[in-house]
Amino acid sequence: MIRKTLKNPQAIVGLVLIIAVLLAAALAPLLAPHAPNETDLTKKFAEPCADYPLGADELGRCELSRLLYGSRASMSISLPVLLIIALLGLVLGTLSACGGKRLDAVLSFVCDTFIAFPQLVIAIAIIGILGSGARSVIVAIIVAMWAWFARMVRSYAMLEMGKDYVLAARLAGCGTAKLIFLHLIPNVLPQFIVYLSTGVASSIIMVSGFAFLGLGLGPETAEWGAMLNGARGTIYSHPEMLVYPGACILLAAAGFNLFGEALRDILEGEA
Amino acid sequence: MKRYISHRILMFFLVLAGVSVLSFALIGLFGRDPAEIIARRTNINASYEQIEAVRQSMGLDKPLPARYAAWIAGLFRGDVGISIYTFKPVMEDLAQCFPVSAALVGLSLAWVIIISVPVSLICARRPDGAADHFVRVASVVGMSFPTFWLGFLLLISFAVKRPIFTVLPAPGIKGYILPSFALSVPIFSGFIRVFRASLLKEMGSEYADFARARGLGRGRILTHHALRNALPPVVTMLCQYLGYLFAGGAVVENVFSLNGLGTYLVGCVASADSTSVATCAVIVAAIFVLANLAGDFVNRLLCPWTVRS
Repeated sequence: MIRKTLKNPQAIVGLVLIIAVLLAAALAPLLAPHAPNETDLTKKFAEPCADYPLGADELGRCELSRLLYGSRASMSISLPVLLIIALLGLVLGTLSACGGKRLDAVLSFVCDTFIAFPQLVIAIAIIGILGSGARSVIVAIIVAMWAWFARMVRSYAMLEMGKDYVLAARLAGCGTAKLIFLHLIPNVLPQFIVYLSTGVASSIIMVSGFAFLGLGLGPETAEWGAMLNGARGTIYSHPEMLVYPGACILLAAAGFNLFGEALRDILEGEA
Repeated sequence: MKRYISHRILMFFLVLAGVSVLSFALIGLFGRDPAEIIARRTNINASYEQIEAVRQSMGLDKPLPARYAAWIAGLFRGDVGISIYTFKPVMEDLAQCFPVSAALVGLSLAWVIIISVPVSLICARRPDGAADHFVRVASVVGMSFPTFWLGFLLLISFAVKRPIFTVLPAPGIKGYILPSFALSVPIFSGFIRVFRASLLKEMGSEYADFARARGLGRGRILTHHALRNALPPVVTMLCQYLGYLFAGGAVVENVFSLNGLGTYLVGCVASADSTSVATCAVIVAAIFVLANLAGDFVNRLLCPWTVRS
């Protein structure tokens, strides 16, 4: 499967974009020509030049440096979110599928409630409870998204539960915990990775959407959504400042989506 | 079938109850004092006595469960009281912002259907053709578009550079064209992928082979045989979005300065307004669950043979 992935052009493009974003996030201090919040009012809306490759914003901050640091903000939230959601989803989803009828009913009900609940309300309330900052945004997105993952894992695990190998494992005296970790999770994993990759993409968009609404991350943060919100005042005079941050969100999200969807095509071709 | 229906109806009310309890709990934990927010609105240096007076007059001195009970009673009377956020009756506020959201969601879904159905059919007509390859990549990129940024791009190109539309919303349907399109792009992109895959799956089935053996062309099999069978996953998805978009459009509403349900919700949460938040959340959740139910029933009508007990 790995070889097939490496031969798929769409997966390669996605992988290249993912690596580019991760590198930008990791090496931002080395790559950026300026500090992200270094203001120089004489350079207000400076034209692109050698020192300011993409020009400067309304406070004379280097646009390119802010974009690079923006990838850091985005990744440092989206990756932990997905890691925790992945664990939560796998454990709760498989538990729901094979932990007995009553547990399944309760977990399904909680999932249904969270899925029907407006995500934005959860996010604002949690950011309000925990205060601003990256950590509250992480918690907010986890609480808003976990139910979708748990439900997804549950539906795949349910399909697996009907198969003969599960019955064989049960007959051989396999306990529930062992069944979950040794049999169910490895079998659900391929589909789950697809979901995870597209999940990172939606998390990137969600983080910047919250920052755009001024939730969690302050307007001075070098984050793509916050930068969009800062640039909207100059939509007539400097529309290019609205274009760059969004393009970064698009590229980062597209990388994870292209990779995930290519993986899905490969998996479905095999099945 | 009867058991199924009664189970779904029971779940409907359970989920609504869960959603309302969750709203009250979240706002209760929120830590902001609604009485203080109201008092400070008229007088920034409101004294402790003034805040307490507001608290008593608004009934905010009662414990959260008592306020929840009062809200439930109000909900059945059709009058849940006054919003802390706007100081107007919640129902009046809803009557104002609900039609905005409904128009936005309705038009977005219209875009989704208008664009995704023909495009998916073209893709499935010649899979692995040039058009199919292009659409497959384009749809993944489309799924990755942040809607608020797309909104700005549309505003820059069609309101700033070429003044066909206005930056502030125009009255009537014209003001909704750009926002609904921005909202629909990631949705119809995802739609095309699901619809195309579903169509191709049907085209690979035995009845399609049989139709082919009878001498029917691929185009005719596609529109007359496969289309209907390929609909259930798409109907399910459409109904899911119908419910999701009502509160999920806040960022787009913000870009286009529309005052819809999403924007109202953001304001209400910020004012620690538990009654308005719970009312909105219950309405949104009701639409969500009902839309899913409706999708289920439509699928049962479309393809009764796919239903498992």
